[in-house]
Amino acid sequence: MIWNGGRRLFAVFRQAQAPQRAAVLVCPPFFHEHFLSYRLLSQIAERLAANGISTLRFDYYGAGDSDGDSREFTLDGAIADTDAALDALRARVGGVPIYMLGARSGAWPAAKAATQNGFRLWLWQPVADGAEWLDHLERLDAKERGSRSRYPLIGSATKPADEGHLVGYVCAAPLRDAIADTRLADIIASAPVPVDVIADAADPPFASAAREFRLPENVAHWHGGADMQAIFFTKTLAAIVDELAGVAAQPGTS
Amino acid sequence: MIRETPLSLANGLFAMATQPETPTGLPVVVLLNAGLVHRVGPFRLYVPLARTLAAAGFPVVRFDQPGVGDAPNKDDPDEAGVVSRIFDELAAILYTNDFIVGGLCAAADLAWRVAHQDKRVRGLLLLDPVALGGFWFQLGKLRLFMRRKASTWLAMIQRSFNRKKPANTDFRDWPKPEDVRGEFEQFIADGIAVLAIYTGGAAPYFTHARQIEGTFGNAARDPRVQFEYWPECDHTFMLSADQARLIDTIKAWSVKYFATKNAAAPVTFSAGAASPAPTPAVRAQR
Repeated sequence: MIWNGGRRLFAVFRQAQAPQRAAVLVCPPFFHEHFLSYRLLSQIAERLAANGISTLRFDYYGAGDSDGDSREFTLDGAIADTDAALDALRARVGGVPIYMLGARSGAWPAAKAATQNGFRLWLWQPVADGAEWLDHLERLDAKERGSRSRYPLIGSATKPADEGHLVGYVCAAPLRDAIADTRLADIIASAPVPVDVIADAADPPFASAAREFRLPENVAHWHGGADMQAIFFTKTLAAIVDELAGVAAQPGTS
Repeated sequence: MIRETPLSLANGLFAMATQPETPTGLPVVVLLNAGLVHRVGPFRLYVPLARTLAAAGFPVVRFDQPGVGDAPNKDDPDEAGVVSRIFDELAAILYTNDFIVGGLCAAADLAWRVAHQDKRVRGLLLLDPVALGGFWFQLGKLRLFMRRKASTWLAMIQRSFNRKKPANTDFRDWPKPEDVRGEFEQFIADGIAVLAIYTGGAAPYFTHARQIEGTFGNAARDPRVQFEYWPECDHTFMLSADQARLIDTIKAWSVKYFATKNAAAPVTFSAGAASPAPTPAVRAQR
């Protein structure tokens, strides 16, 4: 467990298989995408470890295994928790280069930390625009509430909206506003750092990417719905992680 | 007050233990993975559930089984054996040999198998567990059809006959149909208390409350068994009201059967015996 002031956060440190050449702080997605991505990020960490890169994965306050009720999750809180996790990682790995990996909405706190510290940034299927993502979440929420697969026995009705919630998670007005105001490009533009992007096949090109990888549908699909789908850690995924890790081997790339 | 701590387990596994501030002597609740979802459960459901139960005096342990979440890949096909070995470790850490085990979907299937082979199980928490088809299932299915708009009937019938995708039940690990009733009766004979909840999300195999008796027979009316049918609720409890209802129900059941001095005493039940007192065991919306 690590601490952000009085906030106790759950974290998993995976030590690189020797020799350790770098370390990565992994910022997970928010809301339901957290549990949908958990195994994927665990397997990415395992692959990075095999490449000599340690990882620290953590849950924001009010999310996952960390302390706090889901009502206490905030965007500012997630950013502050990321800073605390970064301190914990630094204390653990010494002077090796550090990289930030942000998955989906986790790209936002990861980008904040990367730009503030001049770290290289890895963005895994990042959410570029908060307002668009919020719109997607609202549509997904409505679709799930009206889904005959989810609610086969309620006739032709739709479940009423879950006030202050989105897709099973608390998301009250202040958090919605904070999400709607967030644009990844603005965060990165504040202090540009090298960015590598692992994107869905259909995503538009990422303007400031040093390198871009496109995921095939069979490994990119996991965040489209509200239910868990198997993600197989395919050779394609392994090759992408290996290539990302390869940069860490090159001097002066941190 | 409760405290939440990670526990290191053998074979690269670890668990999150949510415990009351001081030991209560109540059984440890072990929540198993809901399919591929890691130990927090779908929509983080297991976390407030664990905290609520711990506040009521029950230690709760959540862990990832091999192949899920943070656990290494699966190399032992005996999943129930893995859980029993974790019971061994928990017994040494938490000083108890009494376990309530269960969870959602695949977790219910595994909990059933664990209870079948591990006599330390005192309670079973089964969310959308096994059920057998038959007349009542077909009747419920017909009712489901009738509730839909007539314009959708043709497509539903076609889907029923031309199933290309595997049904949810194809991924389940249930006992053989002919063994279900006998194994359940053995649970009751062993003094295991059972809470089983079926949701509307189980409609591919459960559409009518009368399936409960059809599946489990007279043992379903044992005073230590509580069945619920929530047809308006989904399989993974996405909405906050459904989550709250589930947590309240599990807490009330746990307290009733394990934390009150006057909890129902174990009674033996054997196949063919006279039915136990006809306590209304099924609280269902029909």
